[in-house]
Amino acid sequence: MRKYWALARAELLDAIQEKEEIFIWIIIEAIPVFVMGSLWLANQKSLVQVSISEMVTYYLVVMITARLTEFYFDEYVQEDIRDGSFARYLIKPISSPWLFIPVTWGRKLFANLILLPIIALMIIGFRQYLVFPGLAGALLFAAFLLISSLIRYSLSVLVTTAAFYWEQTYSLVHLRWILETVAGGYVLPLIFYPEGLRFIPDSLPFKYIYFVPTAVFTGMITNNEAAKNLLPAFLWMAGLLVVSNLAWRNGVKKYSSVGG
Amino acid sequence: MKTFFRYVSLYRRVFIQAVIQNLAYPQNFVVWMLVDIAWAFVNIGFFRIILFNIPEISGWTFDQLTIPLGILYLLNTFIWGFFYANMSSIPEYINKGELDLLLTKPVNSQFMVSTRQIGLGTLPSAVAGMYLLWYGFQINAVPWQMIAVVPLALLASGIISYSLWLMTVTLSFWTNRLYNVPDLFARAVDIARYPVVIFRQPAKFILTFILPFAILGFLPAEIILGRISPVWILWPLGLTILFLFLSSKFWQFSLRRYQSVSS
Repeated sequence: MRKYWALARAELLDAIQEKEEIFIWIIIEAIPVFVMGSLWLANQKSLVQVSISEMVTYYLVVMITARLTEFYFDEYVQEDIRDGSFARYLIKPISSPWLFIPVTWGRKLFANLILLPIIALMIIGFRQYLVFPGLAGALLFAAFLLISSLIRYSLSVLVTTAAFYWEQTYSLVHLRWILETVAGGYVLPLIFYPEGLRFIPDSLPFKYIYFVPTAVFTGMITNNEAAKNLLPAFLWMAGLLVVSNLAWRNGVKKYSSVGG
Repeated sequence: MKTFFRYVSLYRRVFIQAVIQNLAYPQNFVVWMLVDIAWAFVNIGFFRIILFNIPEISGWTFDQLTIPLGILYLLNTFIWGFFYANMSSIPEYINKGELDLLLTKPVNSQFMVSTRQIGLGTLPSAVAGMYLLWYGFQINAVPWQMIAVVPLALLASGIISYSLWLMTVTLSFWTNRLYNVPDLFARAVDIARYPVVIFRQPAKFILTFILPFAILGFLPAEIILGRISPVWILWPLGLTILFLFLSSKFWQFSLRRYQSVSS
């Protein structure tokens, strides 16, 4: 366990050196919250399915969920695979791809600490619109956050794995963003989707990334419904972890390093 | 004039090189096209779904929204295709000292960093944009002579977007490392997809006059729909000159901060 901590700590120290980048990330992630918040506040009289409080809380919690569960190592590791510098991960005393968990969490810890006062300001600014869950809802939210995080980790592993087979795979990162954003409920709560289209996100794992955790928090779905969602969410997460790990192992066998 | 033609000739060579480069990785090129088509469906579907749930967005119905969205799609083809890869590379050139190589060339450095790469994967956006405009003109019974507003709007919006993007990435000269700064503009330009009336002051003022995202798609759309006088097109055209001048000055000024790796 100590080596995981050491790796996370090293990444944390590295992240502190790049505080300007973290500041930029926070602005980037706050933009959709600001835009969607403004959109619904300006059109709140037209809302029927949900209250304006649920909508404002939804986008705030989506932003927090996005930050807490994010894995983005596919964006840079595929470049390492292509140019041959990936070998440095293979000689570490932690097996890949698991090492990307402490790497990502260590790197994000500082960013999340910076985000805290910004979230506090947003809570103060929107306080009349915010709704909070009870204890059971909060526990369910925490459980779904963990599942969401591991699903995103598996997706990131799968996208990275493609780089062992193809020369250029950055487009797949964008494909993952699209699926997470649309089928995950980042831009709109899935209950807004027309009945005829709902079966698509309902039959995919992406809804457990943003929609289900956030809907539990805001009360868009009841605790009973949320509890019923726990088992399928867990099965998706476990399945994706197994598949991504197997794909990764096969992919690594195809890797040939510069000079190696 | 001779210099102008020299740059046109240079850009022609860059373009040919870019086509070859795009086709060198056919799987990636095809996936980029698919991603672009998917984004088009996502963005149009996003407004369609919202407008299933509410009758209009601050005075804009779906049929009316097709006009600003069409303009913005054509703009996206332009800015993502021609500038995304270039803007993304600038912080890396600065951080790794690779700008040396470009500064020593007998060509304007701003031209060099802005035009080296071209992505052709955004071509489906152009088709989506043209379809939305065609649909919008038909459904809103817009007189066809209003089509003249579109190229003017695209010229102005394209240059304003480029200038704002370049000024943002130029900030990399002022920090040790700022690799994600190109994504800041890429995300902020999404604000242009919403009518400025949804925002409160001072955001409304900032988005109209300082960071003029509000005028990239919606101002020309209001002219096309006859909501405001065509004279308003002079506003983005005037800003084009101002922003191009500012971006060039800021680039030149920030270049003084550049520390090469070898010196």
